Amino acid sequence: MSFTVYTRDDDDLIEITLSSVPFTGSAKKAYWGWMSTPDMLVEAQIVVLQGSAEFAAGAKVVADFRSGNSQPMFLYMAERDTEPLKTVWYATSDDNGQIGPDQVFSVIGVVNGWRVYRSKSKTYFSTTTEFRIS
Amino acid sequence: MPTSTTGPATGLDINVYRGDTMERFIQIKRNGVEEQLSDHQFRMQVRSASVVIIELTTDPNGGITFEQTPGGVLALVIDAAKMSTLNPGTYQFDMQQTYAVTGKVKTRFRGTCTITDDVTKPLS
Repeated sequence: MSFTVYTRDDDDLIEITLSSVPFTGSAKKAYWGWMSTPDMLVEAQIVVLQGSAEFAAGAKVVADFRSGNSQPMFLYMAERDTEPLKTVWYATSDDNGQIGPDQVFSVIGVVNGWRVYRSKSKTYFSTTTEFRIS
Repeated sequence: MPTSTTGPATGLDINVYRGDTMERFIQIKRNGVEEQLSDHQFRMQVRSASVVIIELTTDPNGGITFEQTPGGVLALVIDAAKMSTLNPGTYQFDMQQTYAVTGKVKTRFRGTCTITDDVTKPLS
């Protein structure tokens, strides 16, 4: 929902719009990282945040899970819960097959406006992982 | 189309629910073109007369960030913990912009902020 008010600045028409959801066409944002517990909603926080990025719809993002991931961990990613639930997470071949059809991220809940995805099992990533949000 | 001819735009009212995360997005266009906002500083206070209820700024962790668009949409966020400490009521707010190069300060818009009381309170 949004609404717009107007004013004038000299001869310019100023149009100010307030919205309760991100503007259509604005960049999407995703977080990624890892955690040692399967239930982040109990923790109510992201345990270790490794990175975040804003990018246009359809763009590719490379998440580097190598740093600090010294033992198998649950991986998570998060996006705004105002985004349509059509996110496609996939990985390139350099993740040794650890994300793929059998290792997809699934939604585990919403925390502070972020829809959180978690890997189905603990994994260890020795490479970067590429993913895309549609 | 009601247009204010002097001072900031008026009537930009915010209605929020106490205890819920508040998230609002603001885009400003000049003659139909999105203004470049992300170069500048913004500051907003919500007041009950002389009492500041809450203040948001573009300082780090100040509650105002920029969504990545051609101009940079203002994203205003108050977390649920902070929202649960606010008293229900109707308050006044406005938003000041400090221009990066000139240091000029201009109030861009103002309105009321209504906080509706929640029923489910945080766990103690």
